[in-house]
Amino acid sequence: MNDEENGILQRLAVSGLERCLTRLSSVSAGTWKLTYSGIFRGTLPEAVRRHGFTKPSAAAVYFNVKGGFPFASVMFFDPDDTEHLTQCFMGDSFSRAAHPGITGEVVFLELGNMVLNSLINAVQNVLKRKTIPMPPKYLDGEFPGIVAGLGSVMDLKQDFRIFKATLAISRGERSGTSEVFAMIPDELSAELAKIEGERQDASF
Amino acid sequence: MKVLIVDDNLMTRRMISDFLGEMGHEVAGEAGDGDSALKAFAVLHPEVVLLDIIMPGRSGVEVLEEMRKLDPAVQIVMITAVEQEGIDKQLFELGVTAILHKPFSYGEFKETIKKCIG
Repeated sequence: MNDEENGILQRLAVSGLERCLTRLSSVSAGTWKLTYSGIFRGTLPEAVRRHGFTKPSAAAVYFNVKGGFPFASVMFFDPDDTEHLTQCFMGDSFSRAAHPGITGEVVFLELGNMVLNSLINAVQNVLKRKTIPMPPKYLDGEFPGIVAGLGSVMDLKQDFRIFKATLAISRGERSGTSEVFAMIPDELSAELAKIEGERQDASF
Repeated sequence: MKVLIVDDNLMTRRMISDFLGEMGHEVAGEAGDGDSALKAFAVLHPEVVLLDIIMPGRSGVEVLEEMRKLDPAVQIVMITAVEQEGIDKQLFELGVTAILHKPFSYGEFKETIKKCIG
């Protein structure tokens, strides 16, 4: 793998995510932090196997960005964190019991929408392109089933640079964890590195 | 002030509805997709529309274009997690009143709505 391209990709992704997490922390009742980020090479199934969840199942929200430089991203949640994440985002005064239509799926879809769009926005702004993603999709269940579901929008055999981030969402004594994976094709990684290289050359 | 909330996420619609309630504004209606939004717009004649971009079916950009043709005077605020320079520019060219990027605070929401009222 090209270390320079990995470094550029990681800085870009972390910058986008941290911007979102800083805003979430300032506007909501919870504190949202990036606790880990890294890049590795692999397929989507290999990426999912590297999740840090101890339970065999999870909830997933995912986007597939199409166009000239397509890429996919997915955010994993622990369904047992539904109440905690709702309170972190909506605050104490909000009660899911009073709003039965606001299921875990609804909560995770909106949180995933904001966090994953921060990655999409970061990439599109560097590329100086614009893309409106299709609505995020939701899956839950055991991880093999989630991978099979993700296979409907991405090639499970394709090799990618994979950006992984771990988020901690805390409020008071309670903390929850979420994980983000972005599957970056080599063409996109090379283009981002080329643009960053041109930008650095121009600044000298 | 009559407001139409258009967002495919129920939690977001609840949050916006609560914010409007705190400001003393009437939620005239809600819609979860573009087609429903345009039907509600034609019936309710809201003064302000709070409009998401990413929705099933028509995107909020297409809905904005349609609403502008139907009522050049309506105040339309995009409320979206999409924060791309090219799209923000396109939205202002299409006549959006303001853009509120998610996540936003009650304070940011209140300031944006106050600007719509003028």
